[in-house]
Amino acid sequence: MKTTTISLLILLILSACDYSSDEIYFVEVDLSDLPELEISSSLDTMESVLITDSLLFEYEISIDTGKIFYTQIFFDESFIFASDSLANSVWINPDTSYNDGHYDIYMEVIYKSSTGSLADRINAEYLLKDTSWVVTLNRGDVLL
Amino acid sequence: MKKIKLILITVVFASNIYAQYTGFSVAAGIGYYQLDDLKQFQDDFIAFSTVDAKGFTYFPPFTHVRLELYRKTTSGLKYGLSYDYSTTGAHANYSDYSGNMNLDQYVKAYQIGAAAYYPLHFRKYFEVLPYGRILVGYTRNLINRTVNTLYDYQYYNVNMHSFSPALEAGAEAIYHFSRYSFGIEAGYQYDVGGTMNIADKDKDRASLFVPDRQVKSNLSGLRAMAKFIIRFNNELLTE
Repeated sequence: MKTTTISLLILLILSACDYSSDEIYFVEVDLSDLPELEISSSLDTMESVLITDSLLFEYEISIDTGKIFYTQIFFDESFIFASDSLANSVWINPDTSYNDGHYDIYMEVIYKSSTGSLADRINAEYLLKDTSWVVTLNRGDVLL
Repeated sequence: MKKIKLILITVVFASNIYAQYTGFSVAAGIGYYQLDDLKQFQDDFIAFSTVDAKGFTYFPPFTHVRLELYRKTTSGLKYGLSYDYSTTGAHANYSDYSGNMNLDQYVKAYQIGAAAYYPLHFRKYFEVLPYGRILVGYTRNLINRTVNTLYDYQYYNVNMHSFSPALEAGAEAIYHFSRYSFGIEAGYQYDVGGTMNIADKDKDRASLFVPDRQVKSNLSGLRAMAKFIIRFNNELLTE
């Protein structure tokens, strides 16, 4: 009787431990239809870009979902501008620490992935597209 | 010789079984609760999330523990004061390559009660006692939503709680040894079911991820436990 009772006790306690919060429902997300994004700028049609003083840089982003988080523009790895608009412009005016020569205007667009994944739904997933243009800085003789 | 000793022990112990004494019991087992409204609430909670999560666990039978201090009279009637603890939960999950979301409810019920046992059957060391119990319970439901992705981690929790009275009827079967006893106990509890309210401090946060509706706690259901009893003054009276 004692053995039976103790066995019942153990059985009841063990059977009571079936609650679990570890189960996982894994969903495959279709990644074949990512947004298409294109960047165009006022420099695209120019064969060479010469900066003697300053340069008005205009850009336009086209994306089928219409959703970007932000755009950043760098001149020779130095941040100069950020925007969350699909089209904008900025004056690029390198300071005198830059010697004459060739430099990159680098632009990156951080945009919503629109994959429908969990991270995408809470705006915690992004895609990045970047491009750059080579410009020539040639101030010649600077008048003081 | 061994047989004689065994007979002597049996006679001595059997003479004490109808004694008046105080005792303390610890019972542990399983509770099968209805929790209908909370199950529906789990579905609503899943639907309220932004992804197609799947519910895995809806308040399965889970741990029940009872502590009871009792007094048994010479007539065989037994009166007790009890403390009960029950817990169970619900779980849903969504996972993909970018992260995972868990939607959980953890229900804990704390009850104090008073019970009366009536000796229905007795034979040497073995007795069966039907009982009735009145309980007052506090039920707490902790609702959690966690989202874990590469660049973001969100953790929300909301507390809901209620008070409700309950009645329980059941029976215990006990086998007595010298100063302690083993047994099993089973009963059905009818819980009136209090309305679970969101704690005031959580109300603003709750609107972000919890459906806005009232929930009834309903801990009605069967309980079955194994029981261990210690008798404090076994030797007082003998019939």
